[in-house]
Amino acid sequence: MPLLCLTSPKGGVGKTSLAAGLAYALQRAGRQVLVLDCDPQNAVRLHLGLPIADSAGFFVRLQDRPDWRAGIRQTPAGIALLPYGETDMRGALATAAQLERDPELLAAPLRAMLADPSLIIVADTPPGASGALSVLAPLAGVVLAVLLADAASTALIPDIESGRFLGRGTLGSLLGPKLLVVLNQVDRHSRLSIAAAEGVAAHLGPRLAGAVCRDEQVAEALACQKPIGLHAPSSTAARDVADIAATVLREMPPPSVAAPAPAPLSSPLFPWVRS
Amino acid sequence: MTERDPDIAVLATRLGLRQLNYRTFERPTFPESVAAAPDDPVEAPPAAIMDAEPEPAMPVRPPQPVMPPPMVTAPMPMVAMAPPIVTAPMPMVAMAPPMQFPLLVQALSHRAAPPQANAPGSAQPFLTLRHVIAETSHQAEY
Repeated sequence: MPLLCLTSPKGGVGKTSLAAGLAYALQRAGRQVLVLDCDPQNAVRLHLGLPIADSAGFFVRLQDRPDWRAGIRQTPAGIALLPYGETDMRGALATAAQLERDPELLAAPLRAMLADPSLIIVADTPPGASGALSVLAPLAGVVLAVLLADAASTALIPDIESGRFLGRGTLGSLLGPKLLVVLNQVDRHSRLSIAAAEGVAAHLGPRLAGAVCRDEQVAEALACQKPIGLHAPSSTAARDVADIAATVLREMPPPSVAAPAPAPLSSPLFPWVRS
Repeated sequence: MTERDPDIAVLATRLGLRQLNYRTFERPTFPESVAAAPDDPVEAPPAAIMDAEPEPAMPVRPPQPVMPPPMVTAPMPMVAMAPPIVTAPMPMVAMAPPMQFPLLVQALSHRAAPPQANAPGSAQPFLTLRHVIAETSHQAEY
C-alpha cells in the first residue's frame, strides 16, 4: 500500500524533518503526496510553511470522525497536509485513549486515502510505541525507523531487528519485512558517528534504507519553514534524502488495481464469521 | 584552581589536552616544553612520575600503544599562547532574530495565552490519578 510510515524507538532523531524532506522528494519524483501528522507535537506544519498560530488539525478531531478531505491543507511548500492540530497533554492523552478503544477512527479514513493508488501517504508518528503506529503499521508499505548514528540508537538495533519494536509474534513477523532503517545526522567528523554508521550498515545490510549526513542546512530549513529539498536543493543532506526517497519508491509495493475487499469466509471453526 | 595545579595537570595529561584555554584557568606563563622540564615536579606528567619509581614486579614497562588524542579539542596553535583577550560581558540587549529565519521570528513574537487556573483539571492535573491511587491503597488495607 502507498503508505510510508516514519517512526522511531526514541525521540529527537529528526523524524519530522525527514518526513517533510521525504514528502518533498517524493513529490519531486512525480508522486502525489499527502502528509499525515499523527504526532501531538504538530510540527510537520512548521516544516511545510504553515504559520505557527495555525491550530487547525485532523487528529485532534478524530473522535468526531471528521471528513479528512475537508481537513487537507495545501501548504506553502506545495505539499498537502493533514495536520495533527493544536492540543495539550490532556487532549493528546484523550485522543490516544480514544484511538486505543476504537482504532477504526484512524483506520477507516486511512483506508479511504489509500484507495487512491496514485497517492502516497507519508505519516509521521510519535516517537516510541503509539496507538497511531499500531494502526498505521499493518497498512503501511514501508515503515521507516529513524535512528541517529550514536550509541543510544545503536543500542536499539536489537529491538528493531527482532521485531519487538513493532510487536511480538505474528505482528512482528508480518511487519518485519516492511521495516527499514534510516540513520540521520551522520557526522563524518566524529569517530563515534562513523563507527556507529558503519557498524549499523554492516549489521543491517539492505534493511538500511540510507543515511543523512549532519548538515546545518537541515536545521536552517526548519527555521525557514521549508523542507530541505526546497531550502537547499544542492546540499548534501537534500541529496541524501532524495536517495532515501528513491529507495522507498523501490521498496514500496507497486500500486495495485483497486479491488473490493475480500468477503469473509464461512468457517465451521469460526462460526461467528459470516459470509 | 589553575592549570598549574597538580590535579589539573594530571587530568589534562590524561585527557590529552594541551594549553587549556578554560576561563577558570590562569593564563599559562611559559610554553609547554618548559612546563615539562624535569626540574619542575609539579608540571611533570604522571607517566614520568611512575617511571621514576618503577614497581619491582615490572622493571620494564611494556610500550604503551600510542593513542591519538581525543577529538574534543584540536591542538591549539602557538598564537594561543598570547594573553587572552578579555572581552566585556555581552550586554543584555534583546536582539531580534534575523529575518531570514521566519520561524524564529514567528515563535518569538507569538504570545500564547497563559494556562487558565480555573480550567477544569488544570489546577490539579493528576487529581484523577491520585484518586485512583488513593482508592487502590484503601482497598489494599482491607
